[in-house]
Amino acid sequence: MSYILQTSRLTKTIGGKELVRDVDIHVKKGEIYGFLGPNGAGKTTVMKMILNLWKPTMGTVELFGKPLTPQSYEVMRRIGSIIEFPTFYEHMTGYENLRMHCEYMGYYQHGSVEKALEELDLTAAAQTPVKNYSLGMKERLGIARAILCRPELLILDEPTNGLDPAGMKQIRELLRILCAEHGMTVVVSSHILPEIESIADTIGIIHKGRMKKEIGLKEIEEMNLAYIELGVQNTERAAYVLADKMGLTNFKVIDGGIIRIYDNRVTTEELAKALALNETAVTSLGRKAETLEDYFLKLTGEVKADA
Amino acid sequence: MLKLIKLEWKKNNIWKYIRNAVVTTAVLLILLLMAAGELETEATVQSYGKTMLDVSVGMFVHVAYIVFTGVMIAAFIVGAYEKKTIHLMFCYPMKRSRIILSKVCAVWIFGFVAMTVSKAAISLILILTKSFTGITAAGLAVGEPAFWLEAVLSSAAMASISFIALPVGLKMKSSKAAIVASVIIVCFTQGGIGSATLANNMTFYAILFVAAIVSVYLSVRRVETRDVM
Repeated sequence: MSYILQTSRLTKTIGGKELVRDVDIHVKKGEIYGFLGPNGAGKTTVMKMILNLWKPTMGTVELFGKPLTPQSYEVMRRIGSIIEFPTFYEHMTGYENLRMHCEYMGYYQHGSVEKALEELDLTAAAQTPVKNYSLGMKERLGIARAILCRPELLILDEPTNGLDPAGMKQIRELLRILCAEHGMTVVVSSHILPEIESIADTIGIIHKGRMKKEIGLKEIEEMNLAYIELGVQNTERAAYVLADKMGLTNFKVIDGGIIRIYDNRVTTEELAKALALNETAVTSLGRKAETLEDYFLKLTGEVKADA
Repeated sequence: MLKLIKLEWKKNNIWKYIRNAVVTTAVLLILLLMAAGELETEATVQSYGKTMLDVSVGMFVHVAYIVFTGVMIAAFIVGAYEKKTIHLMFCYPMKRSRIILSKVCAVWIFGFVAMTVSKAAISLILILTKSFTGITAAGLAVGEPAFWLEAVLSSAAMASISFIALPVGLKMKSSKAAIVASVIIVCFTQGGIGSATLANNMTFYAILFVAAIVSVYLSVRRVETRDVM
């Protein structure tokens, strides 16, 4: 399969400190790739290397089928990006900042600036100096600038920082439209799971500088993430019934008399019946589904604060 | 390159610098007039006025504009790294060395033109007002090509020498460091201890000029392959 962006064993060490190691990313054309990881996991480091701002200590980046080198200037014409927080020439208006961007990119499509401002709801503030913009407006202007020249690949580092829920929703919808209608490929990083879950086609999970998993959302759905949660008084007895009497192996004993059964062939009725026949008291029984959050926490080995 | 230079001026609000240059020149003129005026009643006024204006117009302008250029270096180049607008610039489809050199040229051209125009304006005003101020202004031979040649060449040299402050600012990642470095350059090039001074020492200026070229080279060297911090 050909990828619009792929990295191979991407590693970055600064001052003896290893920021990321052996990161492999595979982004298909036209998809939204969610780059997920807690703060400090190495998302921005990887994105900076993709954009040639930082040079890999080891490993390679391939963009549009060609390896990225320090002389890869032309490829930047095909990419729109926000890294960390977008910066602007504060004394200039939003409109002037976008025009300036077009000049540097050599992009002279009539009406493109107005369209980008409109898409991000910034038309009314177009003639206001950026120094008077709120944090959320600057973030939206950054996205407007990133999509302004209709790039083939959009790289957005935590683009919803500083946005209110309505603004976040608007950005999510815009990214979907850009993918669906303009065939844009989007790589979007975030540490907020629901944000990625709601838009991404593929998710790359990075933790402590290592790529933990790269998985499609469909695969997650197809994976055996649904389970039956069983509450019992005697977990040893219940485990014996499940294993020896019912022949189940794919279950996990959780603290507090809880057992999770991941085998999707067994029904709650069958379980209730088998446990009752073997005189095992059941306190609760129900079908549940593991969320992406659970999956993420399992991969990163992190425990929920309220757990 | 010219287009890049124009964009640099535009995004750095060049009109603000033009306004400040006009104000600086006006202040320099007032200072010179005040200094000349102090000796109006003295018998030596003519000889003093001549020698003072020979040296002072150039010196005053150089002192002011080396620092002025230092401030521009801080804003145009060092500030871009500080405010991280350079991240945006380095994502554009062009060589990074061109981007940095366009910034260098934008500052150099402005510094050079501002110094030359300032010298010309002050000299002409001093000559036009000499009947009021009582000074001879004999040292300001505006009718001679040598005067203008010296004014242009010394402006070019001083605008160039200002760039010694650039690697200092970049190395320390500080606009303030760049400005302080330009003040130190002023002290070396225009100052003196007693009668000892390096001002108007051509060998010294030649060394500084080479140092300025090396400074710009160091600032551009490896810019394509270096991480952008």
